[in-house]
Amino acid sequence: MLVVLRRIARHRSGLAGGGLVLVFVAVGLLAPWLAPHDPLRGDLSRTREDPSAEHWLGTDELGRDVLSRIIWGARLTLRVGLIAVAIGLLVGVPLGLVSGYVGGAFDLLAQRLVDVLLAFPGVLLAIMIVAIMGTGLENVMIAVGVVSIPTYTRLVRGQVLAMKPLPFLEAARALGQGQLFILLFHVLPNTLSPIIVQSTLQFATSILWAAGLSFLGLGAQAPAPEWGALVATGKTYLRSAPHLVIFPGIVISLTVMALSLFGDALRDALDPREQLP
Amino acid sequence: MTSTRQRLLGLLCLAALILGPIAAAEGQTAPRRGGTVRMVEPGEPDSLDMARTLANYSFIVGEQIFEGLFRWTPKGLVPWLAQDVRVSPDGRSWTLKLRQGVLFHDGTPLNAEAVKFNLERIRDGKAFTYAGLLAPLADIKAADDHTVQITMKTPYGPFRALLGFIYFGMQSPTALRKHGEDSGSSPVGTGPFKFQSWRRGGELTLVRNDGYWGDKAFLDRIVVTAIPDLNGRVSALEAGDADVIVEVPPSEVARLSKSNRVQVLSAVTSRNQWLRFNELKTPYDKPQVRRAAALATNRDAYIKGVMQGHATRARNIVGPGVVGYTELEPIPYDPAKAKELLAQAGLPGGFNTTMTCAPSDELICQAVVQDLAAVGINAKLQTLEWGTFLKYIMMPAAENEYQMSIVTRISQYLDADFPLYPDFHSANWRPKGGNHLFYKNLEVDRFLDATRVETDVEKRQTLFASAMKLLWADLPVVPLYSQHFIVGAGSQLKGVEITPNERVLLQKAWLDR
Amino acid sequence: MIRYLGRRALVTLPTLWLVTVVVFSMVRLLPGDPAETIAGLHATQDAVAGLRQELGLDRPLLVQYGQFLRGLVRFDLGRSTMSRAPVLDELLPRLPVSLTLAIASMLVAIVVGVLLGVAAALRRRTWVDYVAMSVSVAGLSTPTFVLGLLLILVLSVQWRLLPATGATSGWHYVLPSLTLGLPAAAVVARMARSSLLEVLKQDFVRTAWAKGLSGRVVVSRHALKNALIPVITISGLQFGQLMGGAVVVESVFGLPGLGKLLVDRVLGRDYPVIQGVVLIAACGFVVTNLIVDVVYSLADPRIRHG
Repeated sequence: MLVVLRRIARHRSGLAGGGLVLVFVAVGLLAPWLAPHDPLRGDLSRTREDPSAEHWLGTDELGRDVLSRIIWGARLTLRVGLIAVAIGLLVGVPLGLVSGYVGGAFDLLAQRLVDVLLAFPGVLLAIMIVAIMGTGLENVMIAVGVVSIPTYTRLVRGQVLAMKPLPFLEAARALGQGQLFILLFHVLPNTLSPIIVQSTLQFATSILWAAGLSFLGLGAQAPAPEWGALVATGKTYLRSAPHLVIFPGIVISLTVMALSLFGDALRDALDPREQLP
Repeated sequence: MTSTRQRLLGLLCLAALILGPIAAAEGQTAPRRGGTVRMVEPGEPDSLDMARTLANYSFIVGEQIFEGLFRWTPKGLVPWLAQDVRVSPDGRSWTLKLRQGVLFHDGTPLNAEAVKFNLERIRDGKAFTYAGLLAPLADIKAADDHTVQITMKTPYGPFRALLGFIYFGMQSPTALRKHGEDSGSSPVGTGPFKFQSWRRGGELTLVRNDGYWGDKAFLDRIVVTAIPDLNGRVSALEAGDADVIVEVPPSEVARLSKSNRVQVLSAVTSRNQWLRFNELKTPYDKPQVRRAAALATNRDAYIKGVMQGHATRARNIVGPGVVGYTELEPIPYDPAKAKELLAQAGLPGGFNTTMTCAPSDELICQAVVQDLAAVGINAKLQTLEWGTFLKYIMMPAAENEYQMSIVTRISQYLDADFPLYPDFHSANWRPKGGNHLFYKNLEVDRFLDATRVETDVEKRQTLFASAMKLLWADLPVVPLYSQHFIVGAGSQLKGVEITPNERVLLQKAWLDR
Repeated sequence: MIRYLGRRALVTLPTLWLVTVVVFSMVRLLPGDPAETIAGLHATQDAVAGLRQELGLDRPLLVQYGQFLRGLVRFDLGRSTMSRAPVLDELLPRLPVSLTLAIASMLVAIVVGVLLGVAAALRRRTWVDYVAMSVSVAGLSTPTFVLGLLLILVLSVQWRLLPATGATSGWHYVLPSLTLGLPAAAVVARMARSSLLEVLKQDFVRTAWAKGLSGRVVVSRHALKNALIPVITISGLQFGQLMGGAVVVESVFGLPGLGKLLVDRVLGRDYPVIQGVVLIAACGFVVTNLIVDVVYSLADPRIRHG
């Protein structure tokens, strides 16, 4: 663990990314104390104002404080990332583990399922899932999570297949340990580091996708200050009040960038051989 | 001095708005023939079979190709393909004299048989949304080549006005028979322009009908395209890529008005934005609660903040410019009184509820939710995309779960019959008709029934006024404002007309270059 | 080779069949139905029922699926419920728009990506490398809709250089292609850089250097060719991603392509058109993957026996 931390610390871009991720998480957690104004109440006589001392990032189409909305949005975004990743992990990893370890008919079936999921461009699939389940941030999290399942399944299955012939598993079986025990305490721990790396990157992807779906009007419901939705409404006023697009847009970019830099650093730290030359 | 002048200016503006449709300022020069006009709409027509669409994008294109027996112009309802209409004293026998020498674009003559074919097609068709509007027509007969004799089951008041709805525009029977299901892609009417070509997702082209029966159009060609993005339409107009754009966003009007290359045309329409309640849900069954919601909404602030001043204070449930319209006392903004009324209704602390909205009304919904919260009506905002929204609010009474929602209502044929009859008459409760407020007031029903079987214009006006006053006291819906229809055009384009049912007419338009 | 191709193609058939099942059921799981949406707020119960019958929605689902499949083998996708026009009349005019967008953005992705990647690899650990890689990270992290709106704001609203919406000329495709292509270019750049660095370390390149060939010849004739294989793969995979991203980009720029059509018709519950678009996209996706496999196996014969 310490080694990993030390390696990240030496990774300049990783450190910057990690720092930004910490800021993002902190803002998300502390939103109620950080936001200078109520994110949901506005003054209709002061709509779409430019940034000022009172409203650092200006006001939106209903006279609400943009900064406060972005800060509260961090909280929503944090939740979206966590839940979407959790869904992908909780379904994808066990499926990959069992599929790889048990093999046979189960593996075949699971892989066909994965094939079908992969036969659609991910965004299309997510759009259809959200359209069926109904618009809303909760359903967006589910859709994005579901779409990420095949990635996890493939990743874990590959790892397990590579591990299967190794002597330490033979030894465990020879010792008479149960299959489930072996799966949970020998196989799983050895697949952890790629899973962790994948999850960090998936977190970034989930945020991007959720924002995209919200932008299409399928995600967050007004008045929730989800970042993608902020850009979507700001789009209407692109000419008269561009700050409504620029600020949330930059925030989404920065957050995703932080997560991917951190993810890359993590990969390098966890597996030095894979390092980018 | 200044203040007087300002007030005068203000009055002038107000007059301009109230007088409704403003045609583009006519130049001094005589209209010139020729040229192509590029019209950009917010969406592509779905079908150009007028009875197979409900989209205004389609109706606007249709108004150039088709004509009805009557027509809604900026000056009101005028006889069009019908020259003369006689109604028997009992109101049940209508004789329509058709204009002579009118041909459809395919050469088919417009005669009594063609009219009969068109009306019967919709009345007897199983799948037409507005088939019900022709239900009172018992028998349609071609008395001679140019006389249509209609016998009604009951006298039918709104008939004249609804014949001006392009949905009932005359289509060539020959073409309808020939094209069948493809009629929506190959429209054949009698209008000043005829259909030339349409590449879906691309351009739709109309050309002048040189065989037109009346004053021929000036323009050679109209090319229609769709740009859904508000800013995209505005840039297209400013760049000169478009000559007319339909629906200018209110936030851009001030800027556009300053340009001398562009003109903004605006009309008060019959489109009202309604806050509506499901009257089967407590506490919306209590009139005090509905009035409290009305008093709690700062409607003048919405006009200024949400509509950027491009809306008018509502003074009736229906919008202005509608047959039967009466101006009523505006509802004040009075949150204190609203709280009082809630207390009277036994809800001193307010209550929790849900507001269901379609994405197009998201902005105004948020503003209303904010205001309602201030008097203790805590509404959770639920936005559903259009298909789901429709399904949700249109459920039959027993299953309908919505509590409060916001929709806009336009009067398609500019008669108060629509939307009053389908939306407020208790005979039209879902699933039978369009009353998904589940509003029931037998007195209102009586007046509405009476307006339907009355053909005398004056008497209908009085009956409507009575119904409207009852509705105004009862507030089954709260009208938030009357929306304006805003069209942008290049300054070289003259003679564009817009109507209170949100149509753009290019028959008299010409290019001054 | 042909046997391999045949085998790969055969394997995709069941997948494609499953795709039709999934598409068909997904569309019918959407809340509401075409009849209700077309009939609108004022429809009477009778009108909705009449429409349902007219559109064949009252028939059992299996029968409807059978009709769908039967039509499909005759390349007949049915008629749109919204416009009543044949689905192909709706799709075909929009297909070139989406294809142009996809190909133009692919070009942007490959040209910009390879240039950036090669420059970064050759000038490793200099400012060129750092700038190239920073641009790449930024490109990867910016959502397409934000990038698109920023491009509109600067190039179209401020500088008035390029049109922002519509598809009436080639110029209209510049901003959308950049928007869609640049994030993909970021991926390609990273792949090109690392794979070129990998190749440059290998023996045959060292030999070439040792033979005294000039740097330019070594890079262009020996190293690049070998480094390009993984770049092709990643480009192919990016192409699939592009088709998804096109949905968002077409919405931002109001391009009348298949993505825009899909979003509109999902809202309008136009079953046949949704089925058509999703099916075309899925087929395109599967076929692209197939092509990537084939190109890959041509470039590297070992794969065929894998």
